Amino acid sequence: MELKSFKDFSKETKILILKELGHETDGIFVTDTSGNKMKDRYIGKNIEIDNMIIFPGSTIILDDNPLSIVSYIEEFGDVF
Amino acid sequence: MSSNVISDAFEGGIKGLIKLSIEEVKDLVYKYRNKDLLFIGKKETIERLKKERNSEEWKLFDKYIKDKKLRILVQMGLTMRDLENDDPEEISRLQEVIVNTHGSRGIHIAHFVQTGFLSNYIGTVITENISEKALREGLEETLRAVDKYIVFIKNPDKIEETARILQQRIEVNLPKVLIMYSLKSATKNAKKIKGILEEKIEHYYIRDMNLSKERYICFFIRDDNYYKEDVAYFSP
Repeated sequence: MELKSFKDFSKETKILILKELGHETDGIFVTDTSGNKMKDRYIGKNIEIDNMIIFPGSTIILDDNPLSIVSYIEEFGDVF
Repeated sequence: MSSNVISDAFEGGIKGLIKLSIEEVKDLVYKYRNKDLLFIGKKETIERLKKERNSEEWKLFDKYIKDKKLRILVQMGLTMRDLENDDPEEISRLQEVIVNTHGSRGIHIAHFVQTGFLSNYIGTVITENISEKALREGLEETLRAVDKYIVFIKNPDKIEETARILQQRIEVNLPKVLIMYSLKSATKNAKKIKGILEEKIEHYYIRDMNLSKERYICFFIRDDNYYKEDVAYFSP
């Protein structure tokens, strides 16, 4: 599995990737198409485009922290 | 040109960030949809988690801990230990996230792993010649009741009073195991408490050890040959 870090991409590129995956942003947070801020499903925090990780499946976007990542792995299996 | 684009160009110029065309983004997303590519955040976070999940210590936990919530918290303990030296600021952020999501019980479980005591607990209980199933159940039950049966002795703790509280917990609930652990100068207090309980508690094996100069752990393990069916009414 090839890994691409958002930390290496410009903000414009991150926004393009999000849009291509069917999401939006208000410039700071990831939003749905209605403009509602998306929350990390495990810690309930709003997800910032500068601090996000995107997992396969139904395009699950999470806050980039160890607890959320490990919670995803325990729920869906290891992807790395 | 919008201010965002200017700031983006500035950001890219300074940090050497990659700016992709729409076609290049579409290619990446195509790979992502085919599960050939993953979009991650910090590379260090992923590398650290991979290293932890490949460690012999995690393999031991993986074998005996099946409860998903406990598995997550145990892994957070390993991460907290790695971050101790690598990134103290990140450890504070992670501790806050754990407390907000899993409460004080969650951080206590992670701390028990971080300090290396969970591995020692498993190693000690394995030598008691119990089945894998019984070990797993006992371990998970003990972790779920971490606030009651895994006791971290701190320096200000009053020795007599703490010994009395622990004696009551053991005599009233008859836990399979009660663990007392301490760090640095508080180990003196923990050893005194162990000395008091040694004289007062019956039908429990006591195993204690210094894991290093500054880390002490003491196990009170129920003698199931004595209690047999009587303990079926108690949990854990």
